Amino acid sequence: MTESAERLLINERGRKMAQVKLRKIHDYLWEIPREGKMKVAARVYADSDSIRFLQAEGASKQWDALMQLKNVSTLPGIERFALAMADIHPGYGFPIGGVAAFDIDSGVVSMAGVGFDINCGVRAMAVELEREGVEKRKEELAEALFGRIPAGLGSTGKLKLSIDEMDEVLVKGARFALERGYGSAGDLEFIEEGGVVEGADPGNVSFHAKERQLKQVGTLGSGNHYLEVQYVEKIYDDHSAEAFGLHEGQIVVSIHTGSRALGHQIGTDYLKVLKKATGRYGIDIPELELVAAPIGSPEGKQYISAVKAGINCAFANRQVIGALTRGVFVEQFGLSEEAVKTIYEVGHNNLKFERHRIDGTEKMLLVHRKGATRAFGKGRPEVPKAYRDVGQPVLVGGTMGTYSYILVGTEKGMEETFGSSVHGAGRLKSRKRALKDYRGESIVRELEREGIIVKVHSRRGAAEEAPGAYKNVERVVDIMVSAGVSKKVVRLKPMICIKG
Amino acid sequence: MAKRGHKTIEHPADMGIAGWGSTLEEAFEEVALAVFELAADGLVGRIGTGSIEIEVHATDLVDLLIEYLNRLITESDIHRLTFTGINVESIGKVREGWELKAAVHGLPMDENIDMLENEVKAATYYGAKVENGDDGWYAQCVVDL
Repeated sequence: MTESAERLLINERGRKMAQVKLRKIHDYLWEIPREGKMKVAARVYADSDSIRFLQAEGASKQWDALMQLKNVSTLPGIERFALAMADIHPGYGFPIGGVAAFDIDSGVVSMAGVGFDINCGVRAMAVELEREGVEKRKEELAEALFGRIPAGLGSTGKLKLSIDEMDEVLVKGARFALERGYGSAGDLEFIEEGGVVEGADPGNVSFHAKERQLKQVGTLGSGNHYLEVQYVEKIYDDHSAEAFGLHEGQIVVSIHTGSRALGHQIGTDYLKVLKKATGRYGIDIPELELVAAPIGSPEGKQYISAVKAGINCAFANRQVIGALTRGVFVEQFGLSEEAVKTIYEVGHNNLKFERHRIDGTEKMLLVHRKGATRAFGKGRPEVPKAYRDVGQPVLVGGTMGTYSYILVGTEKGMEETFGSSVHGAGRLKSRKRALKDYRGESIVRELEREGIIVKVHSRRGAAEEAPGAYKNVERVVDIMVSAGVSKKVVRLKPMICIKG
Repeated sequence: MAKRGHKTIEHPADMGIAGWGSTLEEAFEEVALAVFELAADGLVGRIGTGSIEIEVHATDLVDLLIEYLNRLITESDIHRLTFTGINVESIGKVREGWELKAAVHGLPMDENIDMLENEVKAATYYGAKVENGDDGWYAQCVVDL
């Protein structure tokens, strides 16, 4: 029964997939024209190869990223387009790489547009060290980082908080960590939102959510979360690289993690709340995971304030890990604290109230980014002063064996994508497929031969996160750059990778 | 296909999980075992040293599945136990929907840290279904990893 039921579902999906029409706007942008219940057209940044892959995948599997994008376009109050960046792949409800902005009066807030890892994101820090200097002491550095940064399922952080202190984390974000001695005041200016969003209400976050997080502030987590020591392998834009304080051969540390168990529990709790709200307000959703509430409804407001609390929790988490990492470099290389400077920190699973120009008029929108990075162009007040004449750094994570990038937002991105870009390479193979194709030990050995030290808490995780399980990040970035939505600044090559 | 069992289903970013059995209770036990096999390597089936009881209510069976799995994920984290055995004592209709009662046991995370693998963030409604067919019951959903 089970196998035939699954095949039937696949066949049904296959037939549905054949109905998704795609129109080429240009070589790097495709459109699903508006039809049926779609409120707007849907657009995806992709080249013809990626489109072929997405269509084939949608037709042969039961998870379909293009169908998910089309479903997002049916949500009430959506503005201009349902968008997907070039790292699009199937998620749950929204596709990963999905961006959707909603009118604040007629629009909705949707749980799937944020997901369970609220404000998962990346912090990049520039270290006053050259590649050669670290190369000689790579093993000791890797050991020290692996020993110092709590990672993996079941790990706990150094901070053990009370419920009252957790409420402070949810309101103060990175400032809480700073008050506890983690990091320097200079970090805050270079964190999105200054490391804290206004409007977080701990009263809208459950006791369970806080309880789960009491020992998890300052932990990396597992899955695709990582800490990498990288070096600047190539510079594309001297002016922006200089503004970001980067030169060729320089050491950069990238930290990828989010709001940990607190974010997961907020998602779980509000899945129920928003499901009820979907019925109460008669919101017509094509897929149950897209549960939503009107932005101005009591449920919508509660959820948004809880997400803001989750956002602050992630800021605090990365601030603690950033400080622990800085401490390791200070000890290992005798550096000053100031020699490890935060370049930028930005999330990619977020809700944001932002002003954007729609049909020539600026208006406030609620922007959902699920696996997409805010990528504001120059001049925007949200961009740190030091970068305002070049634009916001966009931190794009690669895989353990390939490149990461720092891009910068553009004016065209502001016009086309609500100032958004990719967040990573995007998965090519399922975790299950990766487990069949790779062995954790072999991956670690292969990368070691390439000069990359990988320290993992989970061997299975190493296989699931094998470089071959992901799309080619260079190609993904090139699509966004060719479309004019982002500009390349630097390419980073990993030297050490710590994974959960 | 065995009378009861569970499996993972390929999903590009996360993981599909499924469980089946001759009764609804068995199918729900199996699908939860799929979650905790993702979380820990080779621990499912061992006798747990800690146990808890849960009671979950929902309006329909799909809701019950998601509520139940998410409750187990939450309890696992709070009690710092990775669950190794699941006993769904009853699933029945109540006045306003469905009720599930279960007793679960597990091993302390701290004593088995080297065996722990994936952090399962949550169960989602995506692809979720609970079906009854000639061979029994089948339950599936996608979990966020």
